[in-house]
Amino acid sequence: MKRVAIIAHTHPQFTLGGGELAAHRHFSHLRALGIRSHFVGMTVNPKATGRYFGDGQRVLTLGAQDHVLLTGGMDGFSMEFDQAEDEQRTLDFLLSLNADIYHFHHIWNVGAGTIRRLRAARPDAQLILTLHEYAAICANHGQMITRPGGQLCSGASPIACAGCFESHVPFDFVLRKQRLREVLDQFDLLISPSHFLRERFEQWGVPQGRIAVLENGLPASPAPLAETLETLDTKSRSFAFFGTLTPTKGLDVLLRATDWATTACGAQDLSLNVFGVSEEQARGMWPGLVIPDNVRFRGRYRPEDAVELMSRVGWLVVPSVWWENAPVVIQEARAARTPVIASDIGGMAEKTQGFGLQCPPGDPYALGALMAEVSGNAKRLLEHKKRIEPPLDIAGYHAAWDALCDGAARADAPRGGGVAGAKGAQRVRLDALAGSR
Amino acid sequence: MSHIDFLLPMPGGQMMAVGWYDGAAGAEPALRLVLGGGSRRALRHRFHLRDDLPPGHSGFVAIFDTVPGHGETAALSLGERRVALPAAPATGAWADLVARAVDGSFLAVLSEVLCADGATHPLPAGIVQALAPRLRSFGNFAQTPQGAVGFDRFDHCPGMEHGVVAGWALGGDDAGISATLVLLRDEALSVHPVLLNSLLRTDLAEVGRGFAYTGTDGLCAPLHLPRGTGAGSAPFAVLLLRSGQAFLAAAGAGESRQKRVYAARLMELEEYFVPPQTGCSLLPDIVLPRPDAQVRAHLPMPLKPQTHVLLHHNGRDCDLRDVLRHLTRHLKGRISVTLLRDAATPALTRAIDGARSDPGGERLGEIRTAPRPNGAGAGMTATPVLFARSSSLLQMLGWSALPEAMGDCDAEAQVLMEAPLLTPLGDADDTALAHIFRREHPAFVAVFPARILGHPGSAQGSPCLTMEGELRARLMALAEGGRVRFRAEGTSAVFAGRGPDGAEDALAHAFDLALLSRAQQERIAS
Repeated sequence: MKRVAIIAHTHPQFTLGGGELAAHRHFSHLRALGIRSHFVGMTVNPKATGRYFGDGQRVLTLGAQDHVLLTGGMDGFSMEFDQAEDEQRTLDFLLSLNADIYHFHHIWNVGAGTIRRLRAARPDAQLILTLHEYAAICANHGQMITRPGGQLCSGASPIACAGCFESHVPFDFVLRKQRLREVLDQFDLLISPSHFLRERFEQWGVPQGRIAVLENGLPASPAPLAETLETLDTKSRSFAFFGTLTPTKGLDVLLRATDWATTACGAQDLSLNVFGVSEEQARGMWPGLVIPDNVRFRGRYRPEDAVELMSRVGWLVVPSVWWENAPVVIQEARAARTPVIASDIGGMAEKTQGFGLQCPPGDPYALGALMAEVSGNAKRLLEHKKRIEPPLDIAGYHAAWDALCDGAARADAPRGGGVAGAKGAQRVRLDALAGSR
Repeated sequence: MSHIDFLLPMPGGQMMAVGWYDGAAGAEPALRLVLGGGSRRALRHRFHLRDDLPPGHSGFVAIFDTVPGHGETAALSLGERRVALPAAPATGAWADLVARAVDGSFLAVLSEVLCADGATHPLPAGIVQALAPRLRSFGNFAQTPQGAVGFDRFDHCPGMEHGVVAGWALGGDDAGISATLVLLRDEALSVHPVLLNSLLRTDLAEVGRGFAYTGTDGLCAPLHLPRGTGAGSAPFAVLLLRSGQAFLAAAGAGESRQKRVYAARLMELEEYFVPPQTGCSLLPDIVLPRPDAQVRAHLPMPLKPQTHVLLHHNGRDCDLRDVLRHLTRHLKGRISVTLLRDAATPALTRAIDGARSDPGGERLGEIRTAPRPNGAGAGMTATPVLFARSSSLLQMLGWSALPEAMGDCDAEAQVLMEAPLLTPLGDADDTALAHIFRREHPAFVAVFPARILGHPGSAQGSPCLTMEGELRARLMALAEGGRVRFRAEGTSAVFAGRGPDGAEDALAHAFDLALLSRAQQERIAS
């Protein structure tokens, strides 16, 4: 039986991003299936040093084969560790797992050098990478928005990128791209949770067919609630935001939109519930922003409660002002049978097709008008609910993942184990195996 | 009436008479030495204004080709006037001149002995020793009703054997100005041309009132100093300015600058430079070196492939790891590297360690730092040497074939260069490409035998500040003889990297390219 290592840039016990949650969920599923597997959550969190780790301690095991590996900082531009010993430590730990399949979620906190050396040391192993954002393309936290203006960016180029980073010259970006293309070449299989992200990477230069599209898996969806037009009438006036206090998530746009819907569009009985952010945090981030009375801040929530919480509201709003990839909140909304209003760009536009409503990003007036339009309209809510298909569950995800691994293994056999292990030239069209849309 | 102030002995049995007479400078009667029964015309003579004399009187200096014998009666005749010579000239007379002569006489003597008739007349060390204290006493500003002069800087660079004096001169409306620079160095005086009206000096607008101010009243004098002398004494420059009346100002003792500092100051001055005539330049001469005249058709390839890389890493220090990995991926065999830096930073050291741990890193041999290695550097003599900037290695294609091709190449060196935009390359041959290489200074990768880099110490005598500049010069020299094989790289864009030392490094490269451009212009002109 194959031995699998799932490596994420952080551990869900430290942070609750979509990437690490998807990675850990898959790990748990593998364990449940009896597949020998390890989870490695990287952390460079300085708060973790001393608080969770003893002197000289680098590995924390939180459960059966469930590890956190502490390293030093990483240069986000080069995607390499600052200190050679961190790279060596990470490589040694990964090699000690003696896995047949190393599935990485993010290169961040793992390091380009670690990947190259792991490839060289283990030419027989399968290396898989799930791309959760655009970090290889964009040095601005992989978000493909310009600095400092925050405009949406549609493509990287040395000159354009140097315009975003005054401290860098175009050649830095030439070199960065070569390095990260080289890293991607080390993988037998590249997975994108969205078509949009795959297309962005193909525009950037990854050969077509090299990236398979496979949505992240969720726990099995609960049975739909029994609802009537009367209960939906009340619910249709209830909107929700699930997310973090990140400027690109667009909560400020949503708060302005709620104010506009209430004061200018006549939706007096509309309400907004904000999960994941406290009122204090919001006021700290946007001093002077008017927070309407019909907004309730619900604070932090547990990821496993998200679907149940979403099922209580009429509409989920995803107002991000960056492209996103495959927001887990949209998957969770599908599991909760809750329609989504989202920005009409990138992964949000793709993932809400068919059952959601879309509006321009960063436009509180358009969003407010749309919220007012659907507020109190039970029939319309019901209509959108009916269009929702449950998201891919973790079992379905694993089955597709297994097929992709088999396909990649067949494409690679016989494996030569060359020095650099460049894999790009021998890829089959993996998207055909992934049942992509 | 006339009077002899000084009678000075001159080299070669000559004699100089310094004095005055009661005639205007414009009248200029014939000057003769009356000796025994005959008389001899002066070899050279000069009449000049003297502030200490009443109107209608003039000073004079006259040089004769003979000296009265001991006890011999001699006299000087000026037209109808005659004055007896007081005594035969004595060596101590020069010290007497320095101590007692009025400025007008002193300047006239200096002009006459140093640069009369457009020629330089060297003086014995003893005379120079006598003159030196008076020369050093002049300040850096002088003014008369006819003109004014001031000095701003005098820098020199022992490594380049070059110096430059800069200042300004303003003349009266009706008088032309001529100027000569007198350099006192190592007990010798030399004269140098001064480029008047060669620097923009709009800042003199206020000072220039009363004179003929033009806005380009700056002056400069590039000095090509001989090598190997003067290590212990700072050169001292004095400007001899003539504008109706001669007067002196001193640029003072030159300040010795390090090469890069000196280059920076030269480049700064160049910004204001208005060449008074074609071909003038403030920059030092660069003589294209002739590396090893013997033509060797083939570079003997070592039994095991190996390459020594001279790397100008112009990426971020941490990115060196990628460049070294790029080398191991594209070059066969063992690779040693000289990083063209003074020293390795911690980030460079980490990058080198990282590269050694990368796949292929085991083929990296010694990696050292040296800003200006020579051909005799350890490990370079038996291997092909590859020079490149990191930005060229990462963006230009085809360079990796160069080291192997050396074995079959008739040329001494191979150059792969970026094809500058709009360069017609259709059927460009080596001659055409060599011309582009000389004219455009494109980014390039070169492979050559180590001996092209010269012997230890050869870099010290080069005015080039960078290894790349020095190498360009040597390749240009080789190309003159058709000993370089050129290829053009057709990639769409080669982005320049960054300088490790920021602006200072950029200036060093700009300085070298300015030197090479000048050399190319002179080549075309000749």
